[in-house]
Amino acid sequence: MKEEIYELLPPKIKACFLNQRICAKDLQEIRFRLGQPIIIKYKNKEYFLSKCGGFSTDDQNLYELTQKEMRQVLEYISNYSLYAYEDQLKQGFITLKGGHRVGIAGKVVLDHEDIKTMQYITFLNIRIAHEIQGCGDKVFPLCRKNNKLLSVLIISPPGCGKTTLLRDLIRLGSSCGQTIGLVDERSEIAACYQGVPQNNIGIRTDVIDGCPKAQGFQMLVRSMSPDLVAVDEIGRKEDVDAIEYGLHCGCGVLATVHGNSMKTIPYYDRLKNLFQRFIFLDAKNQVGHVSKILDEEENQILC
Amino acid sequence: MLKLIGCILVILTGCLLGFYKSLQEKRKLQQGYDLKRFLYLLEGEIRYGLTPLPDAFEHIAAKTSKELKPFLVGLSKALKEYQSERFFYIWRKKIKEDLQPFMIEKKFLDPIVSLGESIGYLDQQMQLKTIMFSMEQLEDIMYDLKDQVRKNCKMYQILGAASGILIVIFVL
Repeated sequence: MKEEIYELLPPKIKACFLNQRICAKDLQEIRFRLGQPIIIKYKNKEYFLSKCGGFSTDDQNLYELTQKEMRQVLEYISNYSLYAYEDQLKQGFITLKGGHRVGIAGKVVLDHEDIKTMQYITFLNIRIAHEIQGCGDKVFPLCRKNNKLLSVLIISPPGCGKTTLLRDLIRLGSSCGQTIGLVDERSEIAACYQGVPQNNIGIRTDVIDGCPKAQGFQMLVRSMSPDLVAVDEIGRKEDVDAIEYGLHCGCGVLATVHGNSMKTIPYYDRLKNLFQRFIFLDAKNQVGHVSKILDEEENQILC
Repeated sequence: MLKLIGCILVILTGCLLGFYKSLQEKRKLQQGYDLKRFLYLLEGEIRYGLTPLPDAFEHIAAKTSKELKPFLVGLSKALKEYQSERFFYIWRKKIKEDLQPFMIEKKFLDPIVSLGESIGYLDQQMQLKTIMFSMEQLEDIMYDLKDQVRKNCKMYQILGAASGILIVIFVL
């Protein structure tokens, strides 16, 4: 189903992907910059689209993205309805069907001090979502106690597989009998389409889709009585407040955060007391490599 | 006796023809109301659901008149298949294929066609204002048409009956 991403490309570029048999399963991202070469990340390596329609690491004779093609991609990713993504545009991304995320940059229009919208969108980064069922099998037993999943924080720099691991932990926890509430602010984890999850997130998972984390967290705790609440990419004060609120209500938390080490994560002083397992990821050998797992005492239980 | 039955049948046929023509006149106005209702529903989808256009057309197709249904279903399908780089091209093509053939009053199509030029562009407010503008244009056309339709209805009914009678007089 990842091939659906090719439908969003201008016909000429789409034909190059299909002719070169670029397998969407191994494709990580496609970068479009107006008047610049098209760059893809494929099997952890960077390739350029050349004028003759092939992909190579050589940066000579490259195909450059035209204004018309940029407009085409924008029309396609927004379903001809850019207005429907106003809120997402303000945050600089659009989530597509299937959970793929398109990062957007251009000229920002301000309304006083708030971002109103984005105009002259000239930079796009399509990140292909990869659901890897079973990637959490190894860490899952280490994150359990008395057959219950503990509160887990997944820490890594961008692009190391945090969301993929979180999705699999949700699936595993849900399949093992725990009710999980998922606040999917960017529709990346469950990849809901018209409210129905497109990814496997287990049979006991309730999803609140497109809702800000802090509000969604409270809504789930109050209404769906989850054993655990899962959120992606925490980092603001209100996110940490919501997690504290959930823990005080007796719910566990599964979350991800950007960082390299314990001390570099935002609100370290507060977060270190809220979780019982800290999973560190890197992309050393491959994306999603677990570098270490710490317990609540910050002792290594896997390295 | 046969003559009498024949006369009655001729007059009745004339009346029916007149009645049929007057119904067609009324349908002309009804089509305007249907288009206006479609715009109201579209406005609701955008205002309250921020629904993307392909999904909005699909939702509206289930609620709107039978005549508009093929147009909306076809449009939604074409948009989902990314059949063209610009929304307006698909919009115009579908109007020509699915809407134009059965529209009695072609004037109604002008505001609908021009709606496609600016919808989908910029923010929610822009969409709502564009739809409101098209609705006003439709209303203006309907206002001009209302009196004409009322007069025509009466005229067709009277003409129908009169032509029946006239034929009977000529034949007799």
